[in-house]
Amino acid sequence: MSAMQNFPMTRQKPLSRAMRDRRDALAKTDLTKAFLSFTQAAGSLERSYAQLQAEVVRLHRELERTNTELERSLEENLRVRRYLSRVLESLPCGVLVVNGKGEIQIANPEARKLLQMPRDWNPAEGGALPQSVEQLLKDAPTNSFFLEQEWTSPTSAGIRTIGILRANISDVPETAGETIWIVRDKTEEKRLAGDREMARRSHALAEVATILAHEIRNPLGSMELFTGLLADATAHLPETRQWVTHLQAGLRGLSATSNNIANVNTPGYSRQRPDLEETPPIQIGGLNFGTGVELKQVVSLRDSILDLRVNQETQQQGRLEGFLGPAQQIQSFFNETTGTGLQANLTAFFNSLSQLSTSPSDLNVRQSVLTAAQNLSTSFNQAATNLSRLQTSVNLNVTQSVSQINTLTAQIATANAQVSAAQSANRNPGPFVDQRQQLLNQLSNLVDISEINAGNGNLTITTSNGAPLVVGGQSFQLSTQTDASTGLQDIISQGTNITSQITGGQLAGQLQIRDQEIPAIQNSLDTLAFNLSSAVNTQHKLGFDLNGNAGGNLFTPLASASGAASQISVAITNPSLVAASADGTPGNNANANALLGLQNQAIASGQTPLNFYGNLVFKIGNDVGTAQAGQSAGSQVLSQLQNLQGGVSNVDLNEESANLIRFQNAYQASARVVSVINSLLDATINMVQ
Amino acid sequence: MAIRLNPDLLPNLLLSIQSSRQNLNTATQQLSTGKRVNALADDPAAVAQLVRNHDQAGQDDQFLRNQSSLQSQFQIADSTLSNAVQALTRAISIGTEGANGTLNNGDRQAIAGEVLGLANQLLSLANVSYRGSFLFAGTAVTTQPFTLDQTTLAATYVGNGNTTSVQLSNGNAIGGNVPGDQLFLNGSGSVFGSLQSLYSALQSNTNIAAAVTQVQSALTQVSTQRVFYGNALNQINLSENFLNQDKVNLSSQENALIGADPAAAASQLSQAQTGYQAELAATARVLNLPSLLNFLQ
Repeated sequence: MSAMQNFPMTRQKPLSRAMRDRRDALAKTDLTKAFLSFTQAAGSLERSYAQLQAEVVRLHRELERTNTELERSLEENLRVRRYLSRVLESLPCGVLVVNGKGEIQIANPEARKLLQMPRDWNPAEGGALPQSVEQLLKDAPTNSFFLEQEWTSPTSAGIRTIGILRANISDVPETAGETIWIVRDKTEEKRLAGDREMARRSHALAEVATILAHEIRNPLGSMELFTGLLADATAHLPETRQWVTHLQAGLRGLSATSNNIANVNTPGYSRQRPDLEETPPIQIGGLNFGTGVELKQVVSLRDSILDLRVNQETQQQGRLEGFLGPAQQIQSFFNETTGTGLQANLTAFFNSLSQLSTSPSDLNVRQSVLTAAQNLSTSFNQAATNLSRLQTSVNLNVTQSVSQINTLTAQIATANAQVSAAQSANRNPGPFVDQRQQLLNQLSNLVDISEINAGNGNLTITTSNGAPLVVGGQSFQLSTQTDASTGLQDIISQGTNITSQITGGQLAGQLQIRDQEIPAIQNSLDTLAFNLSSAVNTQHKLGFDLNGNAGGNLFTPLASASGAASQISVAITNPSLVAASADGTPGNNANANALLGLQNQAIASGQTPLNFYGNLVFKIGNDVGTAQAGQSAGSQVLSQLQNLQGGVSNVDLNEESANLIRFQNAYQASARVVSVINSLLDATINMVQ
Repeated sequence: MAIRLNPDLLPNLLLSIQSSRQNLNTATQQLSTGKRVNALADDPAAVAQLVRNHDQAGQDDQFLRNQSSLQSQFQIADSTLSNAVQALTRAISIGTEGANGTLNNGDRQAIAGEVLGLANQLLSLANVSYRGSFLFAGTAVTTQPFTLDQTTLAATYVGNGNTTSVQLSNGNAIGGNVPGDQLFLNGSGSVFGSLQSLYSALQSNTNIAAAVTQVQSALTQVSTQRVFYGNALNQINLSENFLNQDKVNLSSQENALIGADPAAAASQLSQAQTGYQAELAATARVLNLPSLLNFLQ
């Protein structure tokens, strides 16, 4: 530019030569300058162009990049929209978008459901909306943002409460007035809130009722309170104070009586008696003046020796009870009066041999011998099974008894602590003693115990053989443990096996059945089964079968008597193998006769099989009978003792009624005296004034 | 001062109601079962005796069944021997006829033929069986004991000479059989031996009379042996009477042991009922007894 300015385009009139030369020289220089400028300008232009070109390429690239980004962003947008619509679809609350004209733009399925819109409602088509929704849209306030509104809609399942939250979507003018509605079902929430409120109210009501009931039940409490206040108020007036004490004594007597009457049917309750005592007299001028009455204490009336006797007798009764239950079952296994038992099959077995001796070669008769032997074995097996099942169930009872004992001893330990606490605090421990005695009586029904007075109201409880159960406030648990040799539960106290030392209570009876009675009967049955089967086998092997071969075993030989009754079985099934013959000829019956002869031989512990069995039956019946007689006699003794105990401790309504009147009268009299003294005092004071 | 009584009468009353109910139950049970003893503990000694009693009664029943079977067997044996006696009597009569010298050879041969028939009849009698056992085989009861050579009339005995013994009741045993050789091939008068002699005598017409004498002694022998069965049947009859009587005794003993006396049980029931009702009435009265409270206003 500057170069252009250096060449002014002016037409001038011709000049002189010198002027011209000078002008030429000048022009030359100017031209050169101009040329130079031109060249410079051209170079500059070229550079600028190259720059422009580079810029164009850059811009182009930029455009391409922006395009791809735009594309990507569009895709993203689509994806997000898809997400959003899916989120909208599956939201647990309803979402509506409503434009300024009150038309629904978007409604997700939940919203359609809640607002009872048609399931296939489509915002594009518009479509009919339920009357209620139309109304709702019309009523929609335009400015109530973020305020939940409740709307009730009647449905087939009752009234539904639906909460609707509205919010403006944007402030852009073209979409102004467009709102988003969050719709949710508040029916359940409402119901829970209602329930909570109801519960709170009934709780409050119950509290009031309890307080009322307590007050109604115990008006004596309020009277006690008032007399207490009266006593405080009259502290400076010894005369009146004395009568107020009397008032209090009468009141407390009434309270003990009312408690007795209330507990007339409470098991284990001992009646309480107020212990009134005359207060020490005062001496005025050589004369003794009484100072009234004082309630020393309230005592519960018990006779601890009777309690002890009752417990002892209960232990005996418990033992017999524990024994008799299972023993009566045993007795029913062998009830020969109804034909249950072994006699019929024992007789039938020998009868079959008797028949065999008349027809030794008859196969039917021989078969009947095998059948009879089989029946005999089965009845032995059954008796053994019954006994061992019973033993198992009694074993279970033992475990249960032990756990009951443990529960009771823990409760007794607690009662011990309560008795001793009451005694230390100089309160009447009677109610806790009652409770403890009741527990001890229950414990006595289960196990033999001995009670040692450990002082300060504590009882130390041990089994009669000295295993500790309760010491002070601590109980010692018994445990059970499987005995390695018998498989039954042993009773363990502090690591020592005391099974054989339990002598009373149900536990003792159960142990007696389990460890003595059942094993003894099993043993007898085993002896009978073993001796009978061996004697029969020995004789059988001396004979010959129908084919003239030497006889084998009729019963499967048993190794030892132990478990014989449960194992006895017949060894042969072929009737021709019965060895009836003594010489091998089929008509010979001498061995059958010899086998039959076993019936009358002392083959079982020096007795014939049947007599041995008869004695077993006698023993079973005798054991049960003895226990029954003991129980019946014991229950008379127990009832007598309980009567004596009741004589000491039970509440007599007549007596309490009489006391009630007595204490009432005393109270009224004292009250009257208090008021008389009061008026006297007033009169005196008035006189002084 | 009198001792304070238990003011709570209820436990005592309930106890006695319970015991009255127990009596009522016992009496009802006795009447309905007809038994005084319904469980072992009611009278253990009686039940132990009852076990023996039932065993004895069971044995008696079996002995009676055994006897009826023996009776049939012995009756068959006896009537078989009676038939044998008849056959032998016929043999003697025709033998005596054959000894008559007036007869010709043909007649004698005819008589010999009848002797052969009689011998075969006796063979079948000697092989008689009862329920699969041959009665006259000793104790080899499963094999037919006698065979007869039809030309010589020589008899063979494959049984044995063993006898059996059967019990009619406890400790009362009798013989159960007479072996066949003792009956039919007895040394002092053999049935088959004498018939064989008679047969050959008739055929050869020599010593017929002597042979007839032999048959006669065989007849005597069979008759003598037959007495065994007659005696056995008598004994069975006697024993049967004894057993039936024993059963009656056992049953009355059972009744004495565990049976209830219906009259006594009925009167016990009515006593228990009266007692129970009295207890209930007393309890109801006591429960309704007024206390002092009722009179306080």
